Amino acid sequence: MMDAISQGAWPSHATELKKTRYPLQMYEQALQKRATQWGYGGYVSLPGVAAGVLVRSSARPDITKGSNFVRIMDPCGNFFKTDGMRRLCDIADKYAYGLLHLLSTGGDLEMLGIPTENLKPAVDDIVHLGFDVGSTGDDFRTSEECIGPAKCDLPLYDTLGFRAAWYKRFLDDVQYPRFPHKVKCKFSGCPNDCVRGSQKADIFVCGVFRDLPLIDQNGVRAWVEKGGDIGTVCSRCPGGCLNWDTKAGLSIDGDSCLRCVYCINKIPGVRPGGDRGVAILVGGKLRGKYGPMLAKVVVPFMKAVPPDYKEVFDLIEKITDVYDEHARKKERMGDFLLRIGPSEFFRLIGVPLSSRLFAQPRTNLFYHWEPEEIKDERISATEPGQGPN
Amino acid sequence: MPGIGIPPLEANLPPIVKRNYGKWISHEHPRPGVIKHDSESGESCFTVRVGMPPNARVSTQTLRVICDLADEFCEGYFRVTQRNSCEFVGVPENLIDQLIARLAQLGFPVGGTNRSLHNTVCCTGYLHCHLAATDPPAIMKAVSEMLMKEYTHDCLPAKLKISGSGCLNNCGESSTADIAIIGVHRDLPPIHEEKLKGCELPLVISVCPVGAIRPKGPGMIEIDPKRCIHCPACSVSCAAMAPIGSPTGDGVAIVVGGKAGNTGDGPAMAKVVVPYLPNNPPRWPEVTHALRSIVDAWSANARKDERVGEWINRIGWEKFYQRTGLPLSFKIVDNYDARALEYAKANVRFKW
Amino acid sequence: MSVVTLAGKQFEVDEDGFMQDTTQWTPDVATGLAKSEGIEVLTDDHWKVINYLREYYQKFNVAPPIRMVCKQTGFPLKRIYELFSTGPAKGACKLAGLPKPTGCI
Repeated sequence: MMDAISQGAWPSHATELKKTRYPLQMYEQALQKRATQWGYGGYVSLPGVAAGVLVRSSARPDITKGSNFVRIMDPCGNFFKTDGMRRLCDIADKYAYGLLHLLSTGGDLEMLGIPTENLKPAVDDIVHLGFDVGSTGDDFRTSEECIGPAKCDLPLYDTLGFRAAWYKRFLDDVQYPRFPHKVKCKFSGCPNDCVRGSQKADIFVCGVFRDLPLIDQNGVRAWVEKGGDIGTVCSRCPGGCLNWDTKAGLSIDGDSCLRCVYCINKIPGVRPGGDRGVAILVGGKLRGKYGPMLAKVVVPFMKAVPPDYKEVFDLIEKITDVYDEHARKKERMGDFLLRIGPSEFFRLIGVPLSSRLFAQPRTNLFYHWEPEEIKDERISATEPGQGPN
Repeated sequence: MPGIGIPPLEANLPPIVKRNYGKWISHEHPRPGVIKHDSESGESCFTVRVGMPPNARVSTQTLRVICDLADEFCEGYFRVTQRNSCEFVGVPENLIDQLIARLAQLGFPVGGTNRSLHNTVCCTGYLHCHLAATDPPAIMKAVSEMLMKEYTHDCLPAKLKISGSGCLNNCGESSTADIAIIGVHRDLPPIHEEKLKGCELPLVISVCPVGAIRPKGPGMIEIDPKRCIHCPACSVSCAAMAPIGSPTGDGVAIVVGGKAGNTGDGPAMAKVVVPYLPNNPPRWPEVTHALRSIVDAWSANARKDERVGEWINRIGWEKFYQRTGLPLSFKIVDNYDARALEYAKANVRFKW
Repeated sequence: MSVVTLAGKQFEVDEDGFMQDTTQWTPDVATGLAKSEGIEVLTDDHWKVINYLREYYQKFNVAPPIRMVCKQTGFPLKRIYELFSTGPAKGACKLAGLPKPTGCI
């Protein structure tokens, strides 16, 4: 069956496997039997390495004994210099199957099939080359950032610099597990969210801006004259706030603008406004106990100030402290948020109240008051009918 | 010893990126698979995007070929995108044709930009996992093959992202994609009593989302077969309850309408439209057929820049099932969690 | 599955050296398995962690959260990782005869 999967115009993983020392029968037999041939995974003892190495045991010891693998944290922007990559290949050839998982969905590079006696020298060589391992177990997993200022015209903060600084501050928590469950941090430069942080990240830092998109009317006009489809952009604007007039140019109704960056994506000449910062969302996950859940806003706007991004990182630390203190074992951030409820979560984190924290007010009419919350709230007893402005 | 952190920010950035870091002002798509970024410095950066084997699973031999190309065409740097494509960044404009011709020779498709099928993302499946109920890499290979034209041409209403996960742990991030497959188990997890001594039973009981696992005497547990949702949470937490699944029990569900960005209707998780299709390696014809019908219905009927989920939001589920011809099932509405009634309809704004 | 002999007694362990029947644990198990975790001699500090893990496990049948291990032993996280370089959830649990930590995801 692997031969069938090797055929065709699209590059095939089966063809790749055949070029390596991967035990091909493990895959072939799985396809034939319609059942995986691998066994339980998890623990492998490598003194000195608390996170970054894993084992996948084999349910078919007649084919292979099992396969250890290491997680290597990707460099910024997932850029690779070829000489570094060639030397990673050398390590994979020397100690492992010679097969790489170039980018796991968690954001790591994985090297597979390392016999236990090779683990120590493989990790040593990887670290010697300037890469580091980690991101397994109940800790911060590898953080991921969008391509940001390296090759995009939209980022509202320096996602690559932010991630580099995040590693400086939180590296210990990536390599020494201590949380109730894994915690994934993802950084998107703008609301396009190319790292899918709102879906995947326990803590999601998203670039946002507060003023309106800036319009260079000449740039927009030049684009329209070249055949730019301004009609589609105006009709698909989620806020319905764009208007194109051949004479007056492009205008934006500020009350309806959602700062979703759709017009900025599509029209050269429309740029993000200058009042930029980040929003913090928590609890995104694809699984956990109660299934896929989108991340929820805890801070709609704060400034991200390089080089150490202290304010944002302090908040991330506060969130993980609260999570560490109150969550149950193997309870993801999103499930924790669901169990204790958003207002309790906001109280524990200590975030300021904002209308931007809520999708909509409740329809359920039953809510709780503490005795100390009950007091006489009349503005003035002598002037009935005079409410606040 | 670990402890050095990721390589310094600038260590792996190509020279053209270093020169224009943070200075990009616009981008365009001159042709499928090629993106042009313009910098305020006046410099333009051309990127050529290449499809990779499913699961970004590459041999060192192939990687060395990619490295050679990067040395020859873009100063010795390349990058891997969030959707597992490989990008050659900073290719001189006059060499783009030559690079694309070389890539074609080597069997790498160029495309996956703008309004096209983007590279698929999936988990390892049968390749390296004990939980897989199906093999997403092989399915993604079949799907990419089927949608080759959609990958290499800007011929769709909007971008199309297709993902695959081997089980409900969703490591292939199925719920984030426009269309995705996800492996499902239908059998009860086993209880290998002799191994239970090596398990933290209170943890196994607490991770079950539906409370289907109960203590049964000291050191023993039982499963309520009526409640089990086959989610493998217990199989993950306890070796005595793995592996779950069987050749006829395991199969594939199809979910649609996931999206992360805030444009259009905003971020959304994908929704289950087909709860089960059989595993049929090596090409999974039942699955590819269902995917084809969704892609065809969407591309024939959606408006420009309308992602799959947004198209469905506009036309409604009645029209979605009508246009795709997919079979309906009661299993598409939830029956067990606190949000269950959200999935039932609370108005009579029907489409007939 | 294999059998190891520690201090004259035989124990069943899995491929990573975790005890199969955690009720059979004796202090000799910890001493005997220490080498495999890169520990030459078990000090009082090691025992403090091991004893706490045992105590908690016997009460609740699960390994304690790492936060609790720090709190109860009085050791900062760094110190615990110095004592058990593969970590409290892995090496320390192995020596204390607790079940193997779960899963890979």
